[in-house]
Amino acid sequence: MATPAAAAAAPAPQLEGDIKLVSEDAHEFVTPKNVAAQCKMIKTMLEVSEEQEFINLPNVKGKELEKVIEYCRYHVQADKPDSGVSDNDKKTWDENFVKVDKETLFNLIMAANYLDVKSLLDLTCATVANMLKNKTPEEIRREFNIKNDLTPEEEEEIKRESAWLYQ
Amino acid sequence: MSLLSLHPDLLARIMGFCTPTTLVSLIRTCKKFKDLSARDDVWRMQATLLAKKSTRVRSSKKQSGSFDFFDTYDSRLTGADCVGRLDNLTLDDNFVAGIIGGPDQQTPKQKFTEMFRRRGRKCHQCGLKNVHPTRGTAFVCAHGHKCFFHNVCALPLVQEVMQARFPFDKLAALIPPPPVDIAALAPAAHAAEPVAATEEADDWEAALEMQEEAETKAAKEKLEAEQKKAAAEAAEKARRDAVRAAEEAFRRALLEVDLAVPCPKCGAPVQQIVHPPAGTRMLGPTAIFFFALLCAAPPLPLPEMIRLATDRIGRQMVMTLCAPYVVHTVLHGDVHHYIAPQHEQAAVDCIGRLTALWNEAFQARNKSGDYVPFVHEGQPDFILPDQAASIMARAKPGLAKKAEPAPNPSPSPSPSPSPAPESAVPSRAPPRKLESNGPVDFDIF
Repeated sequence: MATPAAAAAAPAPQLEGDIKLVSEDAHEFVTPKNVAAQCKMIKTMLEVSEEQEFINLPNVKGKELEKVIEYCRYHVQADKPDSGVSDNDKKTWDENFVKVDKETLFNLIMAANYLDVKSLLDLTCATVANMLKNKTPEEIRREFNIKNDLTPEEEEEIKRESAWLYQ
Repeated sequence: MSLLSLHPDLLARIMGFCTPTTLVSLIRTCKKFKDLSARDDVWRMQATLLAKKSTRVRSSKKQSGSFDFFDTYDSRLTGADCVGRLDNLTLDDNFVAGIIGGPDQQTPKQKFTEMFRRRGRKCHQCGLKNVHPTRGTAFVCAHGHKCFFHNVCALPLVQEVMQARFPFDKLAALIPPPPVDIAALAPAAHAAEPVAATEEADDWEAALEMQEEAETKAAKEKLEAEQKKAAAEAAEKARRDAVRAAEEAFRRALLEVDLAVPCPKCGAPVQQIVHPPAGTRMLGPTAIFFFALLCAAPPLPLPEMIRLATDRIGRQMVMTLCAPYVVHTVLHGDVHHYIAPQHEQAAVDCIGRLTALWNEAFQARNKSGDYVPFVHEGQPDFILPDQAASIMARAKPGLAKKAEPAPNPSPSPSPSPSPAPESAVPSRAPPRKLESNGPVDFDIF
C-alpha cells in the first residue's frame, strides 16, 4: 500500500488531447490539456472528468485567459529537460511577460488566483511589489489612486510600530 | 480595476513581496494596508524572503562579509566570515537562557523584526555584503535614504572632514582645568592657635606682642586667602569661558561635519545617524559616532561611552569636556575611567550640555520643524570605582585592552582630580535630563 507521500509524488496521468476553455466574455481557446493542467483548478476538473470537451471560466476575461495560456504554454515547453532554456532565459521571458498596463496586471493576478497558477500569482504579485519600490507613501497614493484615510493618531501609531526599520 | 479592489489575501501577498522599507511606505498609505499589516502571513512571508536572501548571500564566497576580529583598521581584510558565525557564537552564549526561556512565544512580526535587526548589511562604500550590523553605521539623509557604511569605510569619510575642519589643536589649548576646590581654600586663620596661646602667657607685654603678631599673621593669611580666592574665581571664570568657546567650536564642527558628509545616493546632507545597538564596540570611532551614541535611547554610563569612543577625535572630544570629572585608575594593567561620586552632578550637566548641542545642531538644520527632540526619563547611570572594576573584568579581554589612557590634551596638570568634598563641586544648574535625537519625520522610513 502506497503511503500518502508516495502517492503525492506519483506522476500524474498523462493528459492527451485538447480542451476548449471559454472565458467570461465568450472567447474560446483550444489548448492542449497538459498546458491547461498547469492551472490547478483546470487540472482538478480534468481529473474528475477526462471526457469533457470544454470548460467554462466565468471569472476570467478573454484577454487575461489568453495571457495565462501563453504563460503556461511557455513554461511547459521551457521546463522540458531537453528544451535548452536556462533559468536566466526564463527569468527574462517572465520579466517581459509582465510588462503590461496596471489594469491587465491586476486582472492577471485575479486570474492566476482563480485558476490557481502559483508561479504566475507570485510573479504578478512580485511585479506589483516592484512597482511600489522606492516610492514614498504619497507617491504610492498618487500612482495607485489611493485616498489617505488615516487619522493623525493612526499615522503616529504606524511610525511607532515601524521603529524596527531604523534599529 | 485598482489596487485596492484586489482581495485582501492578494494584497497581503503583495505586501509579503515588498521590501521592508516599501512595506512600511505601503502601510502608511491608507487604513486598509495598515489593517492588513496585522496579518501574520505578511510577516511570515517577509521572514521567509529575508532568510532566503541571507542564505543566498552567505553561501556565496564572493559576498561573504567581514568579521570583527579579522577586520583591520586600515581596511585590509586578513580574513573573512559572515554574520552567521557571529550569530552562532551569540546563540552559544545564550544557550542556557534559551532553555530557561521555554517555548518561543514570539509573533511572526517579532520574529521578522529580530531577523531584520540581525541581518547582514551591505557597505555602500566598498560593496562588501553581509557586514555585521554592529560593525558599521547607517546614515539617513534628508530624503530618507539610508546608507550603511562599514566602519572601516565610514571612518575616512567623516574623519577627513573632521580633521580638516575641526580646530582640535586650538580646542586642546582651551582645556578646562580641574574644578577648583574653593571651600578648601577658605581661610582657616580664625581658628589659629595663637589666640589660645595668649591665655597661657605670663607676661602681659609678651602676650600683647604675641597677640599683635597673631593679628598681623591672621590679617596676612586672610589677605593671602582672599587673593587665592580671587585667583580661583578668575580661574573658574577662565574655565567657564574656555568651555563656552569649546562648546561653540563643537557647535560649528557638528554642523559643518554633518553638512559635509553627503548622502551617497542623492547628495543631500546627512540628517540622522542610526547608531549601532547600545554596548557595541565601535571600530575607528569619530566624534560623529560618539555623538550618535550619546543620543542613544538607553543612556549609557559615561565611562562606557568613553570606552566606546576609543581613540582619536572621539576620545579626545569626550576628554576635553569631561576631563575635570573623569578619574583614571590602573587596575590589573588596564586603565579605567570613572566619575567620582562628588562629580556626578557636574558630569550629568556636561552630558546634558553635549546633548543639547547635538539637538541644537539638528534643529539648526531642520528649521522646517520636523525634528522634535524628546526627553528621556531618568539620568545617566554612572559607575563607581568598584563597579568599574567588575565591569571591566566582565568585558572581553580585547575590549579591555582598547581602554588605554587617552593622550591628555590638557595643559592642566592632570585630568584626575582628587576626591573632594561635596562643596568642592562648582555650583551648577540642576542636572538636565538626557535628551536624544528623536524620530525624524521622513517621507520615506
